[in-house]
Amino acid sequence: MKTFHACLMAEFHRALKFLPWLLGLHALTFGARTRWAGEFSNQLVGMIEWTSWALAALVAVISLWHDAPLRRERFLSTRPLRFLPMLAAKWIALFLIVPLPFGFVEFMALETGGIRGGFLFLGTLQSGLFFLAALAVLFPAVWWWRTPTAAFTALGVTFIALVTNGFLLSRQLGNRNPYSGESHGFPLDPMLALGFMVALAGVATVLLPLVRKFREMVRIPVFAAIACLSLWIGLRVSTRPPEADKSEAPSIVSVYGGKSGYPATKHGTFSAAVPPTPTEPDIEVAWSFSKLTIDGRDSRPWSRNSPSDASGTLPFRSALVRTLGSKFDSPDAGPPDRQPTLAILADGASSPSNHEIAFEMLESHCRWEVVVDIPLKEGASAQLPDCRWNISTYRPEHAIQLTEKYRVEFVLVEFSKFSANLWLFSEPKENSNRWSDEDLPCIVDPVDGTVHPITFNKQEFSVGSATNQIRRLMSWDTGSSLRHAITNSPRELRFVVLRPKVVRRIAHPWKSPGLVDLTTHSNSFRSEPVNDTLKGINLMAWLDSNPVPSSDASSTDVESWFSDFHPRLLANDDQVRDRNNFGRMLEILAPFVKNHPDVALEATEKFWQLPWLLESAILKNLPRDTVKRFPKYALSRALTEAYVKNGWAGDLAAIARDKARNGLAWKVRPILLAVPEEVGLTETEWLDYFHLDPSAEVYKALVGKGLFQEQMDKATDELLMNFRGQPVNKLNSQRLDLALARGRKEAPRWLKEAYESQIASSKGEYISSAVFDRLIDTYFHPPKIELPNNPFGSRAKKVEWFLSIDPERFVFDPATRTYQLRNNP
Amino acid sequence: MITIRNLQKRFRRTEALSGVNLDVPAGKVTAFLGPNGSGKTTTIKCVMNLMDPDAGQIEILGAQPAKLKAEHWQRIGYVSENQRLPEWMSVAQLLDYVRPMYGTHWDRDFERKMLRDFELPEKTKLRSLSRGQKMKAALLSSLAYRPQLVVLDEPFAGLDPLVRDEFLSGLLELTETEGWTVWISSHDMEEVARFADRVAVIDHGRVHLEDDLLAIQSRFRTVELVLKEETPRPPGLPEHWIDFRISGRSVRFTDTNHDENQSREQCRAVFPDLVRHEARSMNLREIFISLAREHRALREVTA
Repeated sequence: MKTFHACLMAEFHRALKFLPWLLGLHALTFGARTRWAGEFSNQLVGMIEWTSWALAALVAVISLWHDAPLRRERFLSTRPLRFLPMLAAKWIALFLIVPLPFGFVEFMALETGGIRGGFLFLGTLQSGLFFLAALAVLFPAVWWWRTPTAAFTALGVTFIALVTNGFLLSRQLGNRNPYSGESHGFPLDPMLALGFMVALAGVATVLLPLVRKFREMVRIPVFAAIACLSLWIGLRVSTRPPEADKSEAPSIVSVYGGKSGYPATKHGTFSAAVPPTPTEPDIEVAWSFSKLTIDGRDSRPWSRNSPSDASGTLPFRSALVRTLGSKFDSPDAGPPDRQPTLAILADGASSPSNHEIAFEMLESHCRWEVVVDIPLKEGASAQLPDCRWNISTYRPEHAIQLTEKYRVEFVLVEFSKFSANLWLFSEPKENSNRWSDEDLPCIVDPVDGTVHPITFNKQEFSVGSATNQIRRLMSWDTGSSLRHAITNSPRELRFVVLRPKVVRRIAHPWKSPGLVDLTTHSNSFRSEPVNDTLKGINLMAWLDSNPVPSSDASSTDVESWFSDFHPRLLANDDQVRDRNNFGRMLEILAPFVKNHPDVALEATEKFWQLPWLLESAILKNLPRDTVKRFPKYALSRALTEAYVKNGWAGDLAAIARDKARNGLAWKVRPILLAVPEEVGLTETEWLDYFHLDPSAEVYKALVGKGLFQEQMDKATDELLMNFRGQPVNKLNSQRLDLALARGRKEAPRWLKEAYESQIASSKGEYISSAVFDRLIDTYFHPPKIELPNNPFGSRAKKVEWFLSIDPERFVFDPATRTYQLRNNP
Repeated sequence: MITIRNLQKRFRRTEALSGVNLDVPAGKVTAFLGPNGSGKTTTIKCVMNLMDPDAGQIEILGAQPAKLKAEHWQRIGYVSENQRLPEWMSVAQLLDYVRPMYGTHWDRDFERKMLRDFELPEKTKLRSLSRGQKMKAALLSSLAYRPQLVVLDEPFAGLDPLVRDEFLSGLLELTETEGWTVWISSHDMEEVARFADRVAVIDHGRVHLEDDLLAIQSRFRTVELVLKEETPRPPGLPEHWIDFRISGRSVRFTDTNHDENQSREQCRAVFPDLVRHEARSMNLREIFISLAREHRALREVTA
């Protein structure tokens, strides 16, 4: 015990000269983080923290190095010191000098910031554990060496090994591009690590003269290997996807590949969509990849969905209704738009080709909860166990009267969130939805129930040491506006924060049955500039003097002719628009398409600007045997259109089935919808496809052929279970179309309300009334009114008629799949 | 107390120890003499387990150096000019630090006496002390527990003559009263000659002489001869004649096994025209120089 005490005291004597500095830095850190010492810039806070870390590390390293057991020249070498009391004293002393003060500062900073209970305990514990782990790493890192040369050599080698290995592993774990044309990816992780260790051994051998001793030399790669292995395990654990409650494998998915940005980019993109699981109305669904393997290589997505406008969704509104009352049950909330998840993959994209794809999509079901509801005024704050919200500024700037009923107020709102970032105790963020654990603040008007989601004009983050704390300053300034109904009652706006809580996760694993052609022809489209020097030439005259190549012309001659013709056609598009010219040119081009369909189809795949003339020629003249002669164009847009238009879609049915099963159903949609009975997908596959593409077209294509009507009706009813026709947006207009196609009784009323809402106000997403006109034109037939001959006039008349009728009077006629007016009103 | 056999150590191309054999008997002061770079410190480091030898056997207090336990170290006091002290401590803190390691072996009275004798400032940090004061502090921390074996590697460096004298007197007294065994290395022959019982001389990594001091002093003589005529170096000289030099009619050598009765006759047998024979005793310094010259000459011949 006396020895222990003596060693303990010796440790403090050794650290004595550093302690005032260390304590000073701790005080400064505390002052900076709690803003007691005024506003510090994030960089300055970072510098203070790094200095305190470095000083603490220096104290620990000096202490360990002085008494390193393998160092023969240390003072204690020839003393009768028992190892265990010395080790215990050193641990305790260093614990008191390093982790404890850091933990205490963390505790105080969190406590001052209003963090309470378990979050305060975990935050402090996290900081303590972090520094304790750092200390545990320092022991072998310092004690394993006999000489400073060996220590510096080993730590240098280890540092390089860690950086390189970390880089390689992070690449190995993801962020690589499947289109880079590499035939072989990185080897498996353990093999990579093993190879790296061999390389390290080589480095150590080279360094042998430096470290002199063989045993010392052997320690270097061993130490580096242990460090790299720890890194590997750490990376694996930290990137572990969240566990799903259950797993469901979809039969049909949609996969998309391409390049990010236009026209040139360094990133390849990959996205996928799987049939969603039916959910309750107050559940928001977020998608993310938990695994993505392309050609046997793991890829990690870089970006994920974001809650762009969750405030307009039913789940969001349900949360407000639950807490704030039914006045927020406003009709302008719709189902969330489910977007496929996108992965952005590193490196330059090149050579698109076939790929073997496997992924697991994670479907996170989140329920929004109101966690903060305070008046929107300066100084208002809300304390939660894990964070504190504070409104620092609220200032109306000016207002504009929009209509008699509405006006817009411009306001400046600044607020902050101070929270504990319990990274050690929370699920890994990678591969999961970032927003699933992020709060969404908004301003609500209790009088008329309007909700104003806050889009941040300015955000400032400050992150505390050991990344425990996050203080976020946000402002919503004059660029944003509060649009509200004018009322006589005083407006008392509320500052409300909603938090999504994940209630369950479902994993959807999928593996392509074959190779997937991710070629996206749009990526290789060329936009040819119009050659002004060719403007004004007579196209007909040119075609007379440069006739279409004959059937026996070589492909080179044909391509050469087309490359001359195409720019002239582009430059003189106006001549094609002439109806007489159009017909004659169509006839002239017919032999070109008939004899050389491959060149014609290639052009449709290659150029952005392809005059309608050529596409019309293809539609009209493409030979039926083209797909047999040139199978590479089987999925080209022009060929598909021509085959469908000419009634030959059945020729492509088998190809379409295979492609659909391979994740490319979206690409063969025209074929699937044209000849569903010939495609041969199973009932499950069709229903999965319908869930991916819940459109009236799919519904009508299947039900029109008498396929799976009962199941399709059931699936459609499930989709429309919580549908209310509002708000008016693209997604809801598509659902409306589906409801009309299904023959839902409420559909005419929904359509009328949507139409009137769109006319009455420009609130919400702009949807052209032509969309509704088309729906009326398609599904409603007035029995006794004269319709003008021209389609526009006819449609306008129909709309007028539809709006004049009580929607309850419409009944669905399954035979014609339209709505008829009931005889007895 | 210490037995060393065929100890070898090489630093890259330099052979530091080439087969050192040495015994440090109990209860005696053994001086380990040799010039700088002769291998004294390397030998001591190997014995103190501060360095691994390439070959050879060492036994200290009945154990191999690598297997010395706390119980052994409580009986060993080691002080070296190369030793690193915890310089962030004051003298008092240093003593507080090491004292518990020795338990009941530590003699507080002896500690206080040495503190007084050495006149060490207790509260001054070691880093602020002079080289001599640091050495005193090291001696204090290594002797206060009355070790059975004291190993001192160049302990007098930086000590002023008065303290050195007092220290040596004290050490001698303790050696006699406590029965301490002292192994002390030095390149200062005169100093060591005052108190050593035994002497071992090392040069170029090899011990050339190891015996009791009195025996050495009685055996070694410088012999000077004057011949009648100039004579070349005769062949077949006795082996105990070393450092042999002949110049004109004068001959001078060191007799390492001098016998007063037989010396003149031996010389006359080699030099029949001997005119004058004179043998005088040698001090340790002269003996060492003579040995060093002889071995250098031998090395040159071998090379």
